[in-house]
Amino acid sequence: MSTMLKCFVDTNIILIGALDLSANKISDEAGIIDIVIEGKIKLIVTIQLLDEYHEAAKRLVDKDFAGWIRYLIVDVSKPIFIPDDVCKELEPKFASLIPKEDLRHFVCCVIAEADYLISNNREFLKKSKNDVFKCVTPKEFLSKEKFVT
Amino acid sequence: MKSVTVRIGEKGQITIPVDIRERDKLDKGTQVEVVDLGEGSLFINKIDRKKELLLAFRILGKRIKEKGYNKDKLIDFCRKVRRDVYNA
Repeated sequence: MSTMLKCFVDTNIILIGALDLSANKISDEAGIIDIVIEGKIKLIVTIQLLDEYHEAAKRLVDKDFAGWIRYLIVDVSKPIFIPDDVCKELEPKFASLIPKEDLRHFVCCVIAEADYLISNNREFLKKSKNDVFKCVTPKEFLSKEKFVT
Repeated sequence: MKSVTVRIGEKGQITIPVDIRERDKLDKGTQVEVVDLGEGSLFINKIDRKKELLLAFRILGKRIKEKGYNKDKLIDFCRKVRRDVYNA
């Protein structure tokens, strides 16, 4: 049985990490990308999150590139995929606590029994705070968990 | 760099020498691409999805920089993408 940490990695981490990687800048976000590529954490994804990765890449580059990078993220990271219908069952329970556009992301963490939700969106982190999984910035994540990169 | 001579088999298969296979971890089932360079020249390249993904992130990062985004602007950009994907 895998003992890898199960993590939700928000779209803003992917984009900031990519920006830093392209500039050869050492940063917490680039560090997260590195450990994702090296398979040191297990990503938790939903269709909505993959669509966000895709949409962001499409707006920044183009549609073909977006499809390519989404395919590669899935192929390389072999994520835990939480289906929409499973999320939908649990969403009403948290709908009054979490903003509607963030709800699926929060619920997929609950279902996957995530260890971490990692984001740079402070509001999302604040509203998602709970006793089951940790909601942290990349800096906090890397200070809590030691990875050799 | 090393060059070896191998013979093509009945079904077009070739055997990569064992020392190269061991060194480059070319195990059974490993995917390689055969690039046709023209005029009888072929180039065999091990497919490395991790390297490909790293390259994709670098391309994405370069484009983000060209568009003038910094960390704060990217967080706002992602909020908008999230809303749009949710409402789609």
